[in-house]
Amino acid sequence: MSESLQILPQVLIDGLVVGALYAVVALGYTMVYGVLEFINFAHSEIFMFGAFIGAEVFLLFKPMTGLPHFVPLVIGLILAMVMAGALGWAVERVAYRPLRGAPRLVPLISAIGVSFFLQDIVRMAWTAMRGNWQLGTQDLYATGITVAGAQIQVRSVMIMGVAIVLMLALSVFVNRSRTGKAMRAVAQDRATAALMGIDVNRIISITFLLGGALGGAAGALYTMQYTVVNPYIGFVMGIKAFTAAVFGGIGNITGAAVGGLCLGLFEALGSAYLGPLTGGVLIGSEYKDIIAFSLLILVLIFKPSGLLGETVGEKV
Amino acid sequence: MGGFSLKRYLALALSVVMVAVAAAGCGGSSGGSNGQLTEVKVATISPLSGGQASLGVAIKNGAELAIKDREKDLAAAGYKVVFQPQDDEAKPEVGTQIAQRIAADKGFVGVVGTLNTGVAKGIAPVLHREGAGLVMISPANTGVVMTESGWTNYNRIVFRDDYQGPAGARYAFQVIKAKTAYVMHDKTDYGKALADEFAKEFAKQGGTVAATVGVDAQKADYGPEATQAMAKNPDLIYFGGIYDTAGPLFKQIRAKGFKGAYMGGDGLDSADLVKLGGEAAENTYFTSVSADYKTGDGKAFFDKYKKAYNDDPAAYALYGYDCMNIILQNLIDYGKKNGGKVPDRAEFAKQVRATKGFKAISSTVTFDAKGDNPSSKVFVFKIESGKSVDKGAAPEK
Amino acid sequence: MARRYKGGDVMSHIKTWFVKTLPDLMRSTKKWMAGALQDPRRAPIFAGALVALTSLFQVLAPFNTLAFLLVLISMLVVGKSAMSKWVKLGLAVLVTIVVIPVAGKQNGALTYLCVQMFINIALALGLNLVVGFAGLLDLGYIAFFAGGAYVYAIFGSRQALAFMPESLQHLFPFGGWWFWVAIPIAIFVAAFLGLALGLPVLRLRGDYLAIVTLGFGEIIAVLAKNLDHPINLTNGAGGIVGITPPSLFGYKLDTTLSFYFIGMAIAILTALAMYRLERSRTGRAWAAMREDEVAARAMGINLTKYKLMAFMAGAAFAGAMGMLFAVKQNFVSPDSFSFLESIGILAMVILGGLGSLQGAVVGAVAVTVLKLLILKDLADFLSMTVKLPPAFNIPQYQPLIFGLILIVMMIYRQQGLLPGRRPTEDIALLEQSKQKKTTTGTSVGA
Repeated sequence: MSESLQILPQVLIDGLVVGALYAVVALGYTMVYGVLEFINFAHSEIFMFGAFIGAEVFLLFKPMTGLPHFVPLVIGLILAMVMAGALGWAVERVAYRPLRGAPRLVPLISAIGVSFFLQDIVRMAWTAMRGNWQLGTQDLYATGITVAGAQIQVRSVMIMGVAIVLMLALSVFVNRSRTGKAMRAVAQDRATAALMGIDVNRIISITFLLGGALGGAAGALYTMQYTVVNPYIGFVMGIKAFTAAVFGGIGNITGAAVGGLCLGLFEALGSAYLGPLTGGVLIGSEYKDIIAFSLLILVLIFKPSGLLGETVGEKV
Repeated sequence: MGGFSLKRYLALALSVVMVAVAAAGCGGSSGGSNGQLTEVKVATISPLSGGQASLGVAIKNGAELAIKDREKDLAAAGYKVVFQPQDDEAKPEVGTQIAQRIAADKGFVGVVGTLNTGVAKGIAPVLHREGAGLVMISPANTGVVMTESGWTNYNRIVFRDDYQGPAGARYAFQVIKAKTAYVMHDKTDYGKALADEFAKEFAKQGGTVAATVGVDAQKADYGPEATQAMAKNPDLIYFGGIYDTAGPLFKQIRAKGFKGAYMGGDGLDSADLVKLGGEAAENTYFTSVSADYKTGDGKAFFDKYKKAYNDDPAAYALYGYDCMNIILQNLIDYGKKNGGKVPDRAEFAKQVRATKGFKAISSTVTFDAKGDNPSSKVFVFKIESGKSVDKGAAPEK
Repeated sequence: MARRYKGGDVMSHIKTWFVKTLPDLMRSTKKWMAGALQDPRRAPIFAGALVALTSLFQVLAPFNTLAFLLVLISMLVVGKSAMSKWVKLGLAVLVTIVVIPVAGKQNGALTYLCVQMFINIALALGLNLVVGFAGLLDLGYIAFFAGGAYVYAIFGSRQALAFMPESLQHLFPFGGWWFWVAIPIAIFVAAFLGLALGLPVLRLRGDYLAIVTLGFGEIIAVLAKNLDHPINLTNGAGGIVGITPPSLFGYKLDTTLSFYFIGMAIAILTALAMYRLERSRTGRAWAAMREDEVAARAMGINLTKYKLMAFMAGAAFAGAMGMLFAVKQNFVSPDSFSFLESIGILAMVILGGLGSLQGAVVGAVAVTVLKLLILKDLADFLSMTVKLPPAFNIPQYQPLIFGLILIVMMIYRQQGLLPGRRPTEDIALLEQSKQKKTTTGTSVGA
């Protein structure tokens, strides 16, 4: 029993770090859903693309030992954000815009198609460029420090920091700027917003651009944390981040943040304590992924609006 | 409806002929003759992409070298060997599909592979059942199940996990002097069986096994697993699995403050372990196959491989070479006796199984009744300063 | 047609040939063929000749990809031509029962491909029920397939010995004829899984429903990978090997050819069942539900009942086919039941046409052929001409193909290649038959 309590600080810290990543990816989902009421299935692959870009940048600086880690990190972040943002914008133009107005399932299916397509394109591209589709980068900011009896690495702290900055920046943008106001208008009532003179197409494009950029940032952070990337990291991350977004209340930026952190904590706690709780029958870490899926199902059944969302009745 | 003029008929006929000519080229063929030499196909089945590619490609390259080396002897016996390497991505699903295709294609006479026991488990019975017993020799499968299932077409030149695991356990207890071990595996046939064998012997030697835990292979986040491992505070952490999972796993366990030694099996034997694990891979031991690259045939192979592929041969390159060589030698013997015909698969498999005293570079190979090679020895390696150092043979008792 | 051909003239002549003559030719040929096929007198001759030609080609060249494609195309042509049902059936029987097995004797991979095709046909039909008939986007459909496969794999192999109590151990593994008994069991288990999925998602709409079904599929996969302790049910990631093949009256049915016939039988039964379901009361309820849930409920349709029925029925067919899959592979592992597989089936249904039976069949055939035949040939061709790095493995670029299919179909042809015709009643005929009943005095229940 004491062993279980002993590892608690470590478990909590691990959960927060992972949760921060979930939160940043969740932001992309929640933004797009808020404006378009559409689940951008391909967001997970845009995140993955960002991770690859980040990895390439890190690898570019790998031979320059002695260079402060700051340099590859910042350049990687920026480049990943720019390129992933561009990709997000492009995906909307090519695969979603022609389907505006079609029944809901149609763009969703298209999004699934885009997701798979991107996954394999990345695989093909990197196989052609590097001979294999799995990349391993060097460690950045990997020195460990001890906090409250738990080991944490500097990079994990940095990830949480960057995540907070991004969320605050997004919040400020959406709530204080003109474009943000336009986005909120389009989210509330697209037709009226158009009548009010808002260029709806432009706003939607910006939404996808921003969402993609956030996904890209999350990707670069992921690469720094885990140092190994492959085309399949998007899938599981996508489901978990979407779960986080729904859990916190989809369409709600704070909700995405809260949802992400909560999911991270649930997962970490579940992995660590499911074993002892069931008397060793179920090993928690093996069922970690199910925790996210089960949480998603439970939330959607019992409180589809999430923690911070409002219930909206279904209009006939 | 427009009438059918002669011009149109001619044009239509021409198009049909063009298509037919193109079509005649499509589709597979079941071997043919190349002048006077009988053309036969061989394949390697190993992961050529993904996390385990470095080991899989080594097998393919080694086999390819063998074919090149024996080209003249094969021609003298009346054969031209065509090499068709296959990528099984370390997935049983993919491997089974590949096996089905090869089994149906009568041009194939032998298969070298696989790297992963889990994949071979699906392939061997398919070749046995659908492929009329097409012969298969593995340079790397260590799973016990492969030679305990009655597949008369399957053989291997490496040791089994019920030999490798205990050898590692003895080394861990007697030489590293570890008292408690935390055993992990990647839930595959290979990893789990190897881990279990280690745990059994380690306990028998007198050590304590804190727990045996499975982890999902090729995941990114092993934080919870690492935390659990640290909670038990073991002297040694044993991992049954492949280097692409071990690298990140070891890194994340070190990040939680683990100062002890890691240990594993031949799945860790790759330069990529250090690439993926970085500094965390220091003080990692693993049992594996070994080869003498300093003298004689070993050195010749080393130089040849380096020249052809611009890289040091990874662990299984030599074993891929040897396996292919065994098939080729048997083919040559068959050809000399039967005048360069395509061998009957069941007969050929029997002949391969009866191989005795074949002087392969890695060891002298004799297949026993089950298809194992008893002369294969287990060696222990340690990662020191980013390189694997041969620590000699593992203790026998 | 005397003409002097000069240099420049030749070039423009070639250009004209490609740009004008060839398309013209193709168009008029198509028109002529369509005419012949729709003419009830000429159609049997024409279609019969086509089938005979392609069959001959196939039998003479069993390894030739184009031959097989032509056989498939000829079947499609037969389906679309205006002939009596019996002629069409006869031709179909000829091809499936005579031509393919004969060619398959030479080329085992051909029979194997057809087995896989039948499996995919049944799966596509099943998903078509859930998504096309009932309008419930299920992204985890492969879970039901996995259920059926694992049920037979566990009890039809030595796996059962790992957890069965001593007293019952002598029963396992199931003997060959248990296969037929196990089919209803597998259907039951799969239907139960369908119920388990259906209950929680009753209130969810469109996209949320899709995500939850995806999660469900993943949960099943994770369970399959981890249920090897505390009791070893599924043997984890390693999978189960050594599954006893079925036997009938003492004959062991373990060749690819026998799987071919079993698969064909299951696929035909599935198609028949779908045909009846579509035209039944249940099918109409599903259609109403699909078009507008609120209106359907207002009309008195019990959404709960029909949603659950849709999930369970769709699951049942997948489960039945799962058993054949287990037997054909002789090996079942969690890898075979990934999200990619679910999307593959979705791509088949979308390609063929959501809600259309012929569409589902054609889509399944097309995707299977693409995946298992064309991609492989392309890879072989490329490896002989261009030197690509070994990781470029073309047959594994399925996600790319499926993704493209989904995107392109959604943008350009949402109704699919062979869109379904909603079964409609002819009001006039209904009136007529009602009149007849009253005049002849047959009363209800007499």
